[in-house]
Amino acid sequence: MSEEIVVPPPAIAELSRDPAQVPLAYGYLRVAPTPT
Amino acid sequence: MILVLSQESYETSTDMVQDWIEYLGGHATRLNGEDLTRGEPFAVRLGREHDEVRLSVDGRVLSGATVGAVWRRRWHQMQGLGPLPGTTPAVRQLAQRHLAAELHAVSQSVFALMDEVPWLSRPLAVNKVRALRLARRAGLEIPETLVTNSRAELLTFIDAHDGVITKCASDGEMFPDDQDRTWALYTSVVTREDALALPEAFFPSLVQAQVEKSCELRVFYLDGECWPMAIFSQADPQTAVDFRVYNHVRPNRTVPYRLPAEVEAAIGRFMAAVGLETGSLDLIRTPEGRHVFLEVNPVGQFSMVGEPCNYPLFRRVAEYLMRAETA
Repeated sequence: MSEEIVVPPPAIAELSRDPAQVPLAYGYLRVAPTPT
Repeated sequence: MILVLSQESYETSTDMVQDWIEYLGGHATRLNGEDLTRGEPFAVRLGREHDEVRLSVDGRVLSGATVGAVWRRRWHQMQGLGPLPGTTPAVRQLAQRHLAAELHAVSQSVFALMDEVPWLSRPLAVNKVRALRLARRAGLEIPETLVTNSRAELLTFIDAHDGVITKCASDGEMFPDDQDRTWALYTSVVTREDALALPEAFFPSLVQAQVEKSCELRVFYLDGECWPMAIFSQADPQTAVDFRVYNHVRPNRTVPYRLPAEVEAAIGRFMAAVGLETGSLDLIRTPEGRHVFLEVNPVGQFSMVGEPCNYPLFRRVAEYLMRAETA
């Protein structure tokens, strides 16, 4: 069973909106899996 | 007495080592970074000839003169500004940044007065590009790496390799959202389409040739000894690019691993060159059996290696510190 794809909320999505302001890695932000 | 510099939470490895120090007849005192900002009195005093540092740990005064060795495990300080309703966001941001720098300098002042005793280890972080160069010089294979802000450079790099990944040039960060989730920066694949969507000049970023894996290796290193663990991350798409995107429902299998003698020797040369007595190293074992060095974390968690592999790491760290204290 693998993780579901989660759409980032606006406050997080805003972080990756402008690649001139943040490293490439910000374009791939994902939810950190948490033990159930 | 062994002084353990750490932080209040997420420090199970530190707790276990302290248990072993006490069990083996030593004494460890824990000073968390938060202690210096909570109002417990401390003083760093420089005289004409002699210096003195006095710290308070839970109301007890501790003299720096009683410290025989220091384990710099972690160090976390957070001094948030209060509301300050009369100020502007720009002033607040500058003040916050300056407060962080002040606290860092104060911490360094405390540490400076314990320069004469042995430390495990000095640097808390090693620059990734510097580490890669030193690793290559020590005889370890490394992935081709590019740090650039240029779309043209990135496209050329992508065209020259079967796959390309990006990761933070520093340690990365985690961001909480308003739904009790944490968003993290993991190693991720950059496709040609991704690169074409970028502006001609973007924020400086680190990219590397993607190395095919048969498994990933996490190696805990201490004082000349390697304790390697293999992580079978490739059968799960969630963990294939970065095993730290943990699948808690069906975790990756982790087993003890034996490094080839020449790789172990190269790791020893690398750690000496980078000035670390201990650290957690990440490597890839390729399907052809090559070992490719990725990075080293001087303060990586090592219970994740010791427990599944049944390695006595907590005891070994405790014994190392007790030897250092009496050296």
